[in-house]
Amino acid sequence: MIKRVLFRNRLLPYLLILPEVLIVFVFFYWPSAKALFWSFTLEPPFGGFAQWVGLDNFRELFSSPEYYESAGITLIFAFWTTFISMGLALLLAIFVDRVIRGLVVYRTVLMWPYAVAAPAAAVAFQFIFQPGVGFFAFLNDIWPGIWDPNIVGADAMLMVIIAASWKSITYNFIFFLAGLQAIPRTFVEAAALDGAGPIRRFVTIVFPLLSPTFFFLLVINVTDSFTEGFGIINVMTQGGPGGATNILVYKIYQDGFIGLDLSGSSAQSVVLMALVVLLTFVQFKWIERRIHYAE
Amino acid sequence: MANVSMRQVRKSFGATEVIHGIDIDIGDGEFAVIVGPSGCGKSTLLRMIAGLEAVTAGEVAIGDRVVNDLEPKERDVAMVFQNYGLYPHMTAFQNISYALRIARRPKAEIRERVERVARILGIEELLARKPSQLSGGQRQRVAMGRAIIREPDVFLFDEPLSNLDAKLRSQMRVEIKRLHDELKATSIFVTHDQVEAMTMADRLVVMNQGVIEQTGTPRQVYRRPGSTYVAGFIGAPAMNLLPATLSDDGAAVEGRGMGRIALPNGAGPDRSGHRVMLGVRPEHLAVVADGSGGLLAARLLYAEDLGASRLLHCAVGDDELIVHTQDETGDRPGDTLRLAADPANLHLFDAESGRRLEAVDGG
Ligand SMILES: Nc1ncnc2c1ncn2[C@@H]1O[C@H](COP(=O)(O)OP(=O)(O)OP(=O)(O)O)[C@@H](O)[C@H]1O
Ligand SMILES: [Mg+2]
Repeated sequence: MIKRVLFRNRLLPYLLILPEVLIVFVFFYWPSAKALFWSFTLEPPFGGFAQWVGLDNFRELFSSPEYYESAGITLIFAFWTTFISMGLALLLAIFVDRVIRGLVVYRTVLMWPYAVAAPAAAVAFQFIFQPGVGFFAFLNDIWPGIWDPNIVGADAMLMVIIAASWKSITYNFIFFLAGLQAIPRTFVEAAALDGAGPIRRFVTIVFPLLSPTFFFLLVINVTDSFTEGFGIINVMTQGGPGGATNILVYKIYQDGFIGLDLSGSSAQSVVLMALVVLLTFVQFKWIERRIHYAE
Repeated sequence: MANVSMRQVRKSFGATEVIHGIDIDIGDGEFAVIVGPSGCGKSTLLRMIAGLEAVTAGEVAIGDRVVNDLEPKERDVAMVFQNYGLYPHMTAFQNISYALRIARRPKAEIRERVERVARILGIEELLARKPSQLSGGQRQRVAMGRAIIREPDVFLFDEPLSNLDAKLRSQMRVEIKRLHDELKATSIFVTHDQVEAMTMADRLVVMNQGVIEQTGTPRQVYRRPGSTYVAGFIGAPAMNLLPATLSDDGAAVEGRGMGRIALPNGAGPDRSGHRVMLGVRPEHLAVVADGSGGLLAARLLYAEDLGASRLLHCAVGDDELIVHTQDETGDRPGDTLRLAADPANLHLFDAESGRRLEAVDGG
């Protein structure tokens, strides 16, 4: 159902959306347009006239093995972060749904981790995963060298995936829980009378009815992990060791702001943006078809 | 073969008890209707039979099995929910066949059984539609189909008609009865509509605030309501109840504005001076010509014309009563009417407990 609001004043609706439009314009469209422009030029790092170079930046980008490596790392990071955080969140939501139908307090409390800023969470996790202190120091004592994210790329990757998943679990959890609670009891009860056990009820009734929530979260999580991993990686690994956690957004930052290759990193931004748009489009095209929105 | 019985069944949600020790016996193949006002515990009772709600105390048995600890699916009952509970993401066919698919019956058998059920219910054309594409009445039929296809021992209906308009409701009423005559499965039908209760029941169970007020055939309950509560609930418009006092010899009642009314059987002298409620149904009262005796005098307040008959709202002392008559008298508001009734149609209830006083039973 779509709610329509009728405005008597013709100006009012435009005034109401103006702040939002301004914010989106200043912080998204303008920089995006700028990046698009830069990606076709050679931009001198300390100002001065830009030189039009056509597709040279992109050509250079797509012939760089480093770039493909970063793209691969991004996919691994995005896949596992989405998988772990959505999977665990769904599992937790199912448990909680059985216990606290309708209890708002729990939901509020469980939402808190989402309010923790990514760098803050990253600092905490970096401390937890230090090879020299705490639990991992204990493991390293028994099997020397089993865990060291400062040196071993796979360890570092695992660490940032866990930190990023932890960050978004709560968000996913809240949505899954709300989705589960919105499913009328009658459906599940009817299925129970029809002879379906808990697992078959979940597969045939609950999950299909939850699929709009699932799809929404999938889109959000995948796009988020493409872009939002920055805060965590910047604090924990700075893309290291040896580029093992150098996901695309972080590479853009490094090349642009550290390497001062503004044009090259602009080209990367444009590609990343196109990638996110494409991914979202594919998800809508292929997955949304199989979704049952409630009538 | 399944009779359903409950022994001293109680149910509490947290600290509040909502079912206070219910005993019920419903015979095999019987169509029982549980009727009562909103919130009296009808759905809770049904859900305990289905196994969707655990009983707090007592015993529920289906057939000769005590089912207290059995899962819903082990009880062999089917339920039609008030809002139908059709799976919104499945077509009518998938809804109806769900139980068979869960039981992994062969495809050919499923198709054949769904088609047979669809034929019985007249929904062959609708099988490919989703619930959102069906009207209320059609959804109702699909919900019935989902229950019928399992050929269960017991059918439970939780106010299945309450979402339908008046015309469709009376049509479905007849259809459900016809289906029951065909399938002969024990059925328990919950409603708060007393017309549904009267017309459909083999056995009527009147509930109030978590207890059973009375059980019997609709006729018995109508003829001999066991309490003022049942008297007021069954029959429309409700039975008139007037406060009165038993005379010294117990053979008559006296009340304000009604003089002395002799009782055919009397109430016995041991109850003399007892405060009672005199009950008489609107349809058992008649307006008689002045001077020809009658029961009591009443002042006409206003008349409602129903077309085929009229409802006369009258005052007797401070109390109001209704006369349901087909006579076309020319009376006007303010007129005094003399009302008469066959003494056999008078009911007497204890004023305090509200229970029926058996001695004056007119039968
Ligand atoms: N899950 C529950 N938790 C707490 N109280 C409940 C619950 N379910 C029902 N009740 C209470 O039990 C009482 C009986 O409810 P029930 O649903 O059985 O009434 P009902 O007779 O079916 O009413 P209606 O005609 O409105 O459907 C009500 O007072 C209700 O508030
Ligand atoms: Mg109910």
